[in-house]
Amino acid sequence: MLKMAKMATIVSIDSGILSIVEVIPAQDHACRITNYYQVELPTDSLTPARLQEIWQKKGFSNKKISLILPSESVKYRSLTLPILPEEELQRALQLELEDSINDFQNYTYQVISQSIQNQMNQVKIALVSNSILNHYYTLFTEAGLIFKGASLHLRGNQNFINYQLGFLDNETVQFYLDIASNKTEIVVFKGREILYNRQLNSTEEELMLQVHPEIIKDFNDELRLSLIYYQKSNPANTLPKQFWGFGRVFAYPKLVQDITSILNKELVSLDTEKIQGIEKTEDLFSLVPLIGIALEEIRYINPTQRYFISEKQRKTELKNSFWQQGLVWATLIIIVLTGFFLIFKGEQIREQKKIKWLQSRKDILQKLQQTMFDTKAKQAKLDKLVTWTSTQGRELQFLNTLIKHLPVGTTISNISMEEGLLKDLAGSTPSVSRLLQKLKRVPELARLKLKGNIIINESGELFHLEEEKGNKGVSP
Amino acid sequence: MTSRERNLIIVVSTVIICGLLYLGYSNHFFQNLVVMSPNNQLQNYEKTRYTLANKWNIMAKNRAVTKTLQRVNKSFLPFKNTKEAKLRLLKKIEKLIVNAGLAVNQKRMLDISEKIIGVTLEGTASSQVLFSFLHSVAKDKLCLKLNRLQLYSLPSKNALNYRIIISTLLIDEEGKAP
Repeated sequence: MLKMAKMATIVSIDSGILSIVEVIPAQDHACRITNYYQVELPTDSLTPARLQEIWQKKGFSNKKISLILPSESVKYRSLTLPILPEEELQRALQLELEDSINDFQNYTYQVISQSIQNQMNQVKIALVSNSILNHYYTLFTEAGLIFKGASLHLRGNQNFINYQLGFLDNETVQFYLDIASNKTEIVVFKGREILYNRQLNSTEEELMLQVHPEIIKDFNDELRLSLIYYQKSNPANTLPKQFWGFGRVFAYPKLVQDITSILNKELVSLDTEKIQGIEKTEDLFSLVPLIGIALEEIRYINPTQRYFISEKQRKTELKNSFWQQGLVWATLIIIVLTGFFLIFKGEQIREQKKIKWLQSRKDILQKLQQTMFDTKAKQAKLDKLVTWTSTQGRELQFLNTLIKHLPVGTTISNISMEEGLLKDLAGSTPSVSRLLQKLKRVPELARLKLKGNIIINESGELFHLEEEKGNKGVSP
Repeated sequence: MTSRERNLIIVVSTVIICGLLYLGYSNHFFQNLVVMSPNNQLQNYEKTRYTLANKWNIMAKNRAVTKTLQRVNKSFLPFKNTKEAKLRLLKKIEKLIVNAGLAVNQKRMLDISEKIIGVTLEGTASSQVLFSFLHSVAKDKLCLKLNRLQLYSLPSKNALNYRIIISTLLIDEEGKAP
């Protein structure tokens, strides 16, 4: 899967050669070199104008660069410290360096390797002068480039090997020989721990031309002795059977054969499929440290350390970051306030629209309200009239029902009704109780009740009935 | 958190709070947006929308009520001319009496209330005739109502002595369509 499309541009100024490489992630965890340039350029000739010219003419698009420091700018120190907690160890390291280096305040340092041997902390550090860092920072900044920081040649080679071994921080002992134009470097490392490093004076030119047999002999001897020394001082970490070779020299089979016979080890053949975009094999061998640092930047290798940054750069970045943060906050505040203002303004506009809308419909609304009021009044009137109408003929209906349900032998002598309510019903019947019982069964007559006494004579029982209140006739 | 970050947060928070307070103070932002202070015109907005949406229902209901009222009004006499109303009531009653063949000894116009007029009828009649009369009163198009009904049986004559008050309602001229 493709990593996030990110370009890394690495610059190296070493042995009078300026190298620039631009790397992007490619498919299947390969990386693609989109552009590279190498030119012999003495350090003094490197000016902002020259850099600008190179950037313009050679078509480099990325302005954010990282630098690989020249080997002569980096000092290495090995310190032995007691086993301490991390914070105390750092403090002890600082004190130790302050004691051992007179102008320590003029240096920036990084721990490049830390291991425990013989119950002691073995710490290897790289020191770079602040003036050198400031020089490069100023140089690249004046050239219109963004200087991210400086890294080590050693770190680039280490990253490259880890990448070749499958992206993992391998825990096996690895050994590489880097033959440059001004020196040769032997490094043995295990994971991130530098087990051994030594610089020899032999150069690629001497080895390639082989003009002085004595120099070659010295090289052979130095190489053998270095390896013997390493093996004696590190018996636990046996050298592997293969070694890595970096530098133009390793593009030439004859030289490779010579070196492998000296070392009595085989050269690891590079997996060139992982590195795309290189035209000549010798270029690949010379760009190894740059590619190694680029791999960190395109996140193919886990970054293990920060770049060397000068005090001046740190202060400038801090200042810029402060203003950038301020700008971000100010923008946020403006956005928030604008948001509030727009909400409020929007609300106001909506209100005004509503008011305008209401005003435009004022007349029709008034008419409708009048209609509703009129309807309500008419409905009330109608209800009253319907109520009046509903009582029409109620008395006749009552009388018809009464006559229909009177028991046999019952006669009515007197009826008086007012407002639909029976006030008095007088008559005679054989049995008043039977009469009442019968009337109770009829819903319309169920409210009739006995009024006064029952008088008994020869025609039967004389009674008076009246209607219970509550079923009052409706009056308008 | 470094002191610079802390100071930055304090400054930013102060600016935001001041900004909000300014908005709240100058534009009654909170009153309008948060507290929702009453605005009569806007309060009516929803009500107006509802009323306008129901425009046709309102009109239709008014038309229907007016029509029904006009129809019902025909069953009553107008209030504006009480004398004429009384005359019309009396004529109507007399017509019903003649139609039923009811014997009436006494009849008298009556003002029951401001808007209710009536006619008192007294006499003796057979139950069939009286009931026929009462039936025609109940079924008449003019809404007539028996205000009082008193019946005494006269077994010797096989008749009923009656005293009834028939009333009707006087109404205002209403019910015209708007």
